[in-house]
Amino acid sequence: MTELGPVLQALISGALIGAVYGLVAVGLNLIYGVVHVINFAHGEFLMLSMYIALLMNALMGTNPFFALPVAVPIVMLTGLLVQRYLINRTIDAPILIQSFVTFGLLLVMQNGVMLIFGPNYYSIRVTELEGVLEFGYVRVSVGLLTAAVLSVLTILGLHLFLTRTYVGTAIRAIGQNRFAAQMIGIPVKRLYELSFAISTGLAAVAGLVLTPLIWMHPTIGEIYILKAFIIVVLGGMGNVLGAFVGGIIIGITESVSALFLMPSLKEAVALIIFIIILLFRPRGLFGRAVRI
Amino acid sequence: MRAERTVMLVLLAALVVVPPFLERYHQNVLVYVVLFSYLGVAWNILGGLTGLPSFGNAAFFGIGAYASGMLYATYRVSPWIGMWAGVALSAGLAALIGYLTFRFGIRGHFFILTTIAFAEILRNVVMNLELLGGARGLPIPLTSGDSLADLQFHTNRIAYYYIVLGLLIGGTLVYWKLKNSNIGLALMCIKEDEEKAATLGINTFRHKLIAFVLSAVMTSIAGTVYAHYVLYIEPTVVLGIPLSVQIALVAVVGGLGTTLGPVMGGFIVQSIMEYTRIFFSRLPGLDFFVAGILLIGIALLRPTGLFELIERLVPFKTSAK
Repeated sequence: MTELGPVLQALISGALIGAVYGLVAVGLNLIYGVVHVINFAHGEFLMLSMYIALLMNALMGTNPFFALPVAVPIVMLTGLLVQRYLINRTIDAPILIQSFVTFGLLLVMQNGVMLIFGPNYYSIRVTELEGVLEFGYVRVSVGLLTAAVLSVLTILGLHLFLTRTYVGTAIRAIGQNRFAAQMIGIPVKRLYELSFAISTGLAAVAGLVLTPLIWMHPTIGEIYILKAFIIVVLGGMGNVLGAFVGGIIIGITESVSALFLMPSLKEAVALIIFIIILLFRPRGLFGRAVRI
Repeated sequence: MRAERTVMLVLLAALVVVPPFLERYHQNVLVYVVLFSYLGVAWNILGGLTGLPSFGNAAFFGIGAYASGMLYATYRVSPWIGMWAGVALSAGLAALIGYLTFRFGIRGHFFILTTIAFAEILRNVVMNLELLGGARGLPIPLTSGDSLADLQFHTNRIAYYYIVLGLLIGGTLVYWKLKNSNIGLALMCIKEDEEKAATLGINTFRHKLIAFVLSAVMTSIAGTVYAHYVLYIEPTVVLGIPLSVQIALVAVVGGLGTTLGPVMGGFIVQSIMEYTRIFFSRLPGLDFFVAGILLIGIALLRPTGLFELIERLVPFKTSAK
């Protein structure tokens, strides 16, 4: 039984952080599923919301969670403008050129923040979230639990929006066939903008729930974008719920492999899984990737 | 044809004759400019000619740097020999990635992501290997004086410049020969339409593999030279994603699939980035901020590259494009 404790602990904390990874990946996947563009800058929107929270904390002492109503709209507006002025203009360009736009955006946002805030590490302490809950062998920090619950609720909200509302259905229709959607009168470009705004908004939420847990720095987006790619491939490109499950799988894989291998190799393990899935199950673990 | 040759020879003569008279930090910039031009030419074999953009060429650069760096640091093996160890390893890795991606039909976005993933795995592994210096990096022991065998020039730094210039000239010739050969035609055919190329009887798998391995091997050699120029190998620099993007940027700014485009791209991108770094050294990150703007700008405004503009001015018709 003594051996079981750490494993159980790794499973639980892996699943919890995995829910946050899932939230990041769901946003990336939404854009791939609808606009058919890989947004390499997705992690930078997460980083942007962290720095908005930092700024608000420094100026007014705001708790990162209360920064939500400010940071999320700002990030969403940025996302909308990016879609309107950058992505829409290269929508029919070759993949390499499209990738250049989002990769360029990654460099501009990452280094822009570096120029303004410097390369230092910052953290925001939230005393309310520093407690630890104990369930037998397993200890769970309140902050991580809150982050996971908020991530799950956000993903649930997105799922309901995409499946139960008129606009959500239209967005899924574009994902299935852009030309047919256009033909029946769906304003494709406008819904591209909305999708991009929603996607970046999800990244912003993920950034804010992570803020009390980690040290932020300008290149933090890269860490999450790589994980998000792995998760998206695991769960199936364009599959929202698949991305969520993929997130939890990757979270658990990382924490368990950190237990048995060198902790610093956990990212390599996740990347190897990524390549294997890509080769043998290119549509993801859950099959049909065309639907969102 | 004659005008083109004259222009080229004049430019080449300028590249050979002028640098020794420049100040030392301009020479340093030129080394990077020429090195990245060469890297762009190598990238262009796969990304431009064959239409398979790799965002993971840092993997091969890093292998070239670490293979010869480690052999020199521990066994004092001359970099001229260590270079071939890097070449062999890079060729092996490229063959492996190529085999997997082409065999399983990975294309488009997924090809880009796979190349990134392999480079990142390599970075993660290297940063955990004490043998290679881990996350701290690998210093290369200094020789007391200049030594061609050890590829170290402390007083005559300009020697490095001529080595990379030799690489660039050689690389460009390889690219030009390849492009005008049957293999090059097949590669361009694959780029246009792979199914049709296969229908014509082209062994697409083998041709793509040749392009990948050649591109990787050329990149690896640059890694070796870089390691013995900088004399310190940092895993996040030589195996990082920014390096891979920078290599692709050089090629695309110049022009995908053009012979001299990456050379022009290297001169534009690298001199902008290096001088930004020198003049605004108090603003870390400004160089890549500028690179990001270049990336977006070139993608939106001139996705076919800048070399076209020159072709319109000078009556370059044949070999240049």
